[in-house]
Amino acid sequence: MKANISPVTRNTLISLLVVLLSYFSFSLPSYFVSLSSSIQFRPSALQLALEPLLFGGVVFLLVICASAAFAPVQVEELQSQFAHSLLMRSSWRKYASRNIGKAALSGAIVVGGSFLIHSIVFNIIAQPYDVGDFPYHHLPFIENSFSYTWQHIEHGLPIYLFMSLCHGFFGAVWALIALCISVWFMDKLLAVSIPLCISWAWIRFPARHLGIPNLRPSALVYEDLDWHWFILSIIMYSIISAICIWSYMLGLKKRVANA
Amino acid sequence: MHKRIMNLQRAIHIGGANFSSWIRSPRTICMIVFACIFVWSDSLNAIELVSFHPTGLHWSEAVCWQLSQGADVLTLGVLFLITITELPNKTQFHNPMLMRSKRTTWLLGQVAYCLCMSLFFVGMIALMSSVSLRFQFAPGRGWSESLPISEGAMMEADALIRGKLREHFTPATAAMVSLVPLILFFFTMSLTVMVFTFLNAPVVGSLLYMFLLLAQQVIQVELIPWIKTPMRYATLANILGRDPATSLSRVGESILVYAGVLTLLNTALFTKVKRMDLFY
Repeated sequence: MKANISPVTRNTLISLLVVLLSYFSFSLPSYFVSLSSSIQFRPSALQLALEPLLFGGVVFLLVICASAAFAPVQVEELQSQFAHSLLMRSSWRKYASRNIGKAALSGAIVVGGSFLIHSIVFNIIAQPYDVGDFPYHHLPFIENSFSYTWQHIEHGLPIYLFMSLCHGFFGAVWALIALCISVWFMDKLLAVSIPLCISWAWIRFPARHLGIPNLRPSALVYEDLDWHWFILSIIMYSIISAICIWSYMLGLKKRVANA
Repeated sequence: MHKRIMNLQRAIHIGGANFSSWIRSPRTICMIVFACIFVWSDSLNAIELVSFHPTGLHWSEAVCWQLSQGADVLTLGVLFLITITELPNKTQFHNPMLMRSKRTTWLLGQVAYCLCMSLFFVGMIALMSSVSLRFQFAPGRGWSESLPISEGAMMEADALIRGKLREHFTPATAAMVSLVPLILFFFTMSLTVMVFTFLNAPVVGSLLYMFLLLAQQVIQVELIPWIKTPMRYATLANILGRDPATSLSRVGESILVYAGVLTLLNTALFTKVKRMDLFY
């Protein structure tokens, strides 16, 4: 095995490709269908960029791809005892912090990067968002979100950038959850499937039956976010990240105690 | 005759040993915990739906309705697939077992193991459904919807339980009938994964089945009428379809389809195993 310093591993690239494929498999047919109508009635680049998230199944893939970006590499390092060789040359704290950084960055690249690439491609090939000249571009579902005020700036550029950051943060947190699971279970399949099961269980969690506010796990990746839910989501994800990092350090210390 | 009984006993031991190792693996334990959570959340949704129903349902009717819908069979199918990706299990006693038994006996043990897993998983779904619904529904007898429908106070199309089921079965037996397609669905899944493992493509088998499960969600395969995915035959509700006039003979037809597929899979397994080197 070779020590890999870069956060962009083969797994990261494959996950990025899978997410991009699912984005484009939904938005490209819509784009080609829209070419037959007149330019006044064609969907904007912003609408095409958001469509796979709103109406496709991309959201389900985001969690699994963010988890698959780095966690399997950690499992492989521990199973082959390559981690022990690396630890001979550094402390376990340095090793842990490096892996935490790599996992978070790879998750962010997969989820945030794929949204950004998808948006850039549609801003090149489709009509950029311009609600002034094209009233058909108006998106009614962003009226209640804070990004509504940004729609007139540079064809909605702040919306794309803000959403890419939110996607990146979302991906980083799920990659950290997968990293934490990988060190406790040492099973590649579980490291990828448990985060997915957690997100599914969370989505289906009947919060309304129990009378508590229903904080969606995917709130950060949708465009209808208002400040209240944004702050709540950031706090919630920060707490989850802190717990995962603490748990990962604990698990790693246990695994490499005799290294 | 004595030899046959001995072989059968060995097959049962092999199946039992494999099942015992499967049930203790962390992968299986995790997925069973999540399966219980999903069945419980599906029960809560069922409770909400039934609360708007004009006649209401009693406990065994509610269990029958949830099991006929499959209690979130798509998610449960994915979870089950995760637990069986490494079929047949490479246990510590794998090689001694092969030395002491014939190939056919060993394979019979593997088939018994697949059947045990399917029975256990479906049993777990049925138990969890019954327990979670018991908190909200009182026990009762007979069908609550039959009287309002016969009096004309309710339309047959609005009924949650199919008229044909109400005619031929009691709620408890209808719930048992709902389990049959589920057991066959999980059993077929496990045998398919095992066939692909013996063809040296274990990942292909799991991925193919995952695709078949999710095809309905991802590429809207129901728009192509000649394509029949396993989900089409997974639950009693899917087999009977939306038309209230559908006869129960369709259940029999589906069981025949399953019998055909299972025969094919078993033939493929026995043919391949007789010719291959089992020290993999």
